Amino acid sequence: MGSNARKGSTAVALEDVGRTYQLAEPVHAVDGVSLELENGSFTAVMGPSGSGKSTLMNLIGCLDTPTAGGIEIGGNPVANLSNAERARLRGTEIGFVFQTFNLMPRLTAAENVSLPLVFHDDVDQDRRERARELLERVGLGDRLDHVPSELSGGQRQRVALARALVNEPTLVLADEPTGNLDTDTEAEIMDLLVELNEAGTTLLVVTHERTVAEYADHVVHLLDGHLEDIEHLGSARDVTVPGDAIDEGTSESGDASESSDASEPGDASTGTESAP
Amino acid sequence: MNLRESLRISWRSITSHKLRSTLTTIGVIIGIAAVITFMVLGSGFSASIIGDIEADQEPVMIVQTQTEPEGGVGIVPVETPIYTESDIEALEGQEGVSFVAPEGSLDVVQTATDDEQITGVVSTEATTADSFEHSTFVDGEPFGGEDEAVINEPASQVFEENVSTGDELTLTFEDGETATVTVSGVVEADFGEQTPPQVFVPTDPYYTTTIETPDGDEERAYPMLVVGAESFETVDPAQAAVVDYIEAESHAAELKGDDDEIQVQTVEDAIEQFTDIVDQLTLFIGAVAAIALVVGSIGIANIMIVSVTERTREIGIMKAVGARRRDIMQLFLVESVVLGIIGAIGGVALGLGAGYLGVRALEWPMAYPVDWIVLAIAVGIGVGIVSGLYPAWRGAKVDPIEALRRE
Repeated sequence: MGSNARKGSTAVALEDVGRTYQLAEPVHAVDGVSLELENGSFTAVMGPSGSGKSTLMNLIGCLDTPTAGGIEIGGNPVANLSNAERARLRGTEIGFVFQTFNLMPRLTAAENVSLPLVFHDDVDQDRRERARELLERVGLGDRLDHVPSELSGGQRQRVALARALVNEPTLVLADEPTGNLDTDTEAEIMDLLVELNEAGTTLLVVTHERTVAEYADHVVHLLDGHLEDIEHLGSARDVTVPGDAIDEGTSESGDASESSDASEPGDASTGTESAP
Repeated sequence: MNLRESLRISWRSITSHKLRSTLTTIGVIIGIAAVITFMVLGSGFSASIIGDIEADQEPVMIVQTQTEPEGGVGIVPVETPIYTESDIEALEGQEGVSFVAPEGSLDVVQTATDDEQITGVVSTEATTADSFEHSTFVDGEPFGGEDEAVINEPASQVFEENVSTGDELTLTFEDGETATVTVSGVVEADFGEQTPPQVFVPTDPYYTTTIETPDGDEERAYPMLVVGAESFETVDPAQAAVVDYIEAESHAAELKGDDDEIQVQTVEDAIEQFTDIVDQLTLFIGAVAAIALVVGSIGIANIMIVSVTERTREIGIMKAVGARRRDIMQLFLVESVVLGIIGAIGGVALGLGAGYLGVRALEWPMAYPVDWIVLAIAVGIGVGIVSGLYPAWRGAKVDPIEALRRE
């Protein structure tokens, strides 16, 4: 697969990462997770509600800071970055795709796509041209001047995807990107994501839909903030995965046997339940 | 993020809430409009009077008594007759002085022509013919005898049928006595439109107020003197001589009340003093109007806080795609400053408009208080910054995760 294009270097590395919220009593949303995402890899994160999927994504996306452990992006630790530096990292290295699209309601599709460029001080490039290029790539070349309310859900998500790509990020994080879409649209969006991944972008998709997770090379299973298991689908996306039916809708990964410790560097915290 | 971008985005936000933005800026508009209107009216008022005075400036000075009211603002004239005949005589002998004309009001209750009587309104002053030395006569000449009178233009127009030279006026005094005088001439009014109608008659025989001088004599005394200098060049030395005499030797200095002050004012001094008073008054009213500005800026702050709360999710999106705190801060500050500037511009326009209508109705000259307009714009920007600072700071510290979780 194209995902092997930049294999060998690490895009994201998590080392014993924890995120604790100090509520009435401490809540460990993410607890002791170690994980590495290789450059060009496509990883899905699965788990039931409250398992820490979104927190994990926010941590990797530098929207949140861990209370324990360390995160490296592109080999650089982000712990010591200032607020502004982390914002810059989000703007240049990372692209976000959300379940609820999160487009600016008053901006047109083209303006939404070029929004990340606005926050750069070096703004010499022709943003409109760049936005047009990306919108054409996601099949919305004729919707440049439409505001989000004039677009369908699938179209909105495609705008969001184009926005995530505008800065040519090395890492794209998608949180339930198809959660608000019907099955056909889901396939369209996932195809776009796969296309993107094949072009070399590291992709992390948080989902609780098995059908979505199956587009990925690896599936990370979370439960109560712990990394339960890493399931390697390898290059077998078009091959029927054994135990598919068993895995449907659960975080238990019954089929991880073939790959649980093959090449994943995050195995420090895995394997506890990998064998059924 | 550059300024043009934040301007563009802020403008979008302002125009997408047109009604709200308009209502928000109205506070600032009213505040600034009020200040500008008062400044226009104040300058117009000053200009109308000073223009009239300066047009026929005379080498004369006015000697009169003033006092500062207790706890009050400004100065009030004192009408006590303290300038005696001896003082007048002595002043006439001073270097550079060409004449000294006393002036004192007479208690005339009714002024009548052959076919019309007017009660009040017209004031009657006793003076000497010298006081007309520098006056401009529209018609006729100063009075020459006791049965003649000079009237000013407003007085000539106060009757239904204009009074002119040669007409007879009958004055009825408070004590019931009457006197009939023939109009010998009509003079231009001292203060243009603002001058009340006046009739001038000779002090002899009409002025009878007397006072006991410090020397023990009973002499006629007047509340005010008009001192003429020989020329414009000698006004200043003559003024100095008059002041010296009054302070050192005059009866007036001894007769005046303890808190009273004798003023020797040239026309120039009078203009200056008048301008000072008008300026102070205008400033005071302006300060009151400025309160509206404070209210206006609170309005902007309020709406900006609402706007930040409402757009929390948008802030979260912007932060997720790379906006720094200062970008968000800048965005909201620019928005409130734009609202402030719109308010200022609107206020200046409205204020000039209202001021224009005002001065036109009052027939004063239009003035453009440029420094106040510049100040108003500066204040608009200032109001925008001050009222936007806190909301912008609140926006900047929005947690993107929380913000994006909101629906």
